[in-house]
Amino acid sequence: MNQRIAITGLGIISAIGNNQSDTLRSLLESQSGIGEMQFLDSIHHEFPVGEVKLSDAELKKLCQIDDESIIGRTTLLGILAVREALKEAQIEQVEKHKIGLISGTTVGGMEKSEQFYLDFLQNDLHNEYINIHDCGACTEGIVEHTGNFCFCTTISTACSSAANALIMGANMLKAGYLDIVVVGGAECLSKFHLNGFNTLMILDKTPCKPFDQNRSGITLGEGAGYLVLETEEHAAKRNVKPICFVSGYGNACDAYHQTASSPDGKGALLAMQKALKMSGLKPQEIDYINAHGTGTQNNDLSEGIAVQQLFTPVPPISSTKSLTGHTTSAAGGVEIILSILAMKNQFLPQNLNYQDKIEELNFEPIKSNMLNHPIQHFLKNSFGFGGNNSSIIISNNI
Amino acid sequence: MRNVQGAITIRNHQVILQGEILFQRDQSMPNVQFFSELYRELKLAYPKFFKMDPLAKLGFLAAELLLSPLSAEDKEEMKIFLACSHSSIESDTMFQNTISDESDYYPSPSLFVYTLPNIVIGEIAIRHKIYGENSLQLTSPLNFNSIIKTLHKQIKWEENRYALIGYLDYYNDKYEAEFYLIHS
Repeated sequence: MNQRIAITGLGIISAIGNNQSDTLRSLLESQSGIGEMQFLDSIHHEFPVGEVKLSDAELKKLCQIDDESIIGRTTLLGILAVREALKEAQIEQVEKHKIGLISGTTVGGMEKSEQFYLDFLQNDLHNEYINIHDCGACTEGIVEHTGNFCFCTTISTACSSAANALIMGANMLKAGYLDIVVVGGAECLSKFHLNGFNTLMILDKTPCKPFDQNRSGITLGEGAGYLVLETEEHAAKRNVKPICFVSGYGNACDAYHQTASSPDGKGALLAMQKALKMSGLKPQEIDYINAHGTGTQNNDLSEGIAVQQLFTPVPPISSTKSLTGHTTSAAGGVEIILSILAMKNQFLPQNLNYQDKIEELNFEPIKSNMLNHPIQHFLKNSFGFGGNNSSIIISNNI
Repeated sequence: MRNVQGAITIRNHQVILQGEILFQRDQSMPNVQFFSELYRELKLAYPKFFKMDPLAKLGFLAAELLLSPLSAEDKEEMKIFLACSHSSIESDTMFQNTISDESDYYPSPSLFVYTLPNIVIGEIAIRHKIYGENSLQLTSPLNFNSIIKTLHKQIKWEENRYALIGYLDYYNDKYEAEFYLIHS
């Protein structure tokens, strides 16, 4: 039996587009979606953000959901992306398959809870929003509006959540628990985590500058990215052509600090080594790295040191967070899909806002889109607070 | 479940290690005091414990008792797969309280750190220098036995020698931890 894990559908929404085709256009034009906040109700307008350019009401309309329904922004983003992915994978009726949904999120319904928090304490006007506060309720909300999945669960490992959803989904396919699995993550902006990142003093007042010597922090973003996975054999049986394949993945713990990366990038290095080992590929066979690249002093140096240890020379590398902002729990899904779009269109996406090389590192990120540049295999890094580091390798369908 | 080498439960102010009651206190004692007394009983010299949120303290103590017989080599590549229901809601609420009122606005970085449920895994990993795979799953509290079995199945075909799996939860002054040490 061919156990290769095929990717047969993609769905994405972020600051640079509400679907795959809009996203590809922005990516090709290096059109950033980062700007002044329009939808998040925060006093902190000094921080630019990567917002999805739709209000909740507009998102509901796009989802064809009644404007009165009690539903959070994370769930709405998830519904749109899951639907797009299912459509591309030609799955019209979810209940006809042994199919699961594994979704990463950490903010969950927080943005509604903070909006109504004082009401919750003082009156009963908005208590229905309490029921959709938790992360699991978001996944269940997505299921409610996308189809009758036979299995669903939620992964919450901060910014590596979506990548870990992919790992868990691939493991469940290999173990034979599911025939098809939709994996990824969704996250909307909230005051809660904007304030939280701000207290850690790691937000940039200008659009983030990953891998730049003078980088000064994260630009937060929001979005959702989901992939449909199934074995190559199962895709063939359904007559669905794989877009590409998951050829390796690894997760490791950095075991250094709750929120900071270790100076030697040990967790990152271990995760990349595990992914390479599973794929059977040599480091020189990786054509592109889509970095975690948050734009903080700490991450980019630590990740860069880990990459340098494994790759000589370092392959073309970029952080597309410079276009979308850091979509936190959704980032793994969003950025794997951005990289797949680049791979299918044979170009390497630019790392925006880069000027000067980080002194301690021996490489520079991709300074402008490199067109006519085939990618056979790329590696995606996704690192989360708690030292939870994941790397995924995707291979083209040739 | 196969390959279980150790088991611990902490609930109702009672610690049961390998089937035997190791430590207990009257249930009227506040939870955090119970955690502190257990910490002192174990004679641990790890002051960072006192900075942790209740969920992390609970996971830290359960892991401490289960993992103490293992060597550094045993622990280095160990996997940690945990599940919980109420995530970091205790710390979330405390942090939200610091930003809800504009006249009393003081977002706290030390609270924010613990508003992620998987920080408990990070704390265990930092304490024991565990670099293996780790993941935290959020799931309904109703049937955590089947969740533990699912976590067990997920590690079955991995090459590592040891894994720590289990369920823990802390919500509204109720807490519970049930951890297993798996050796393949």
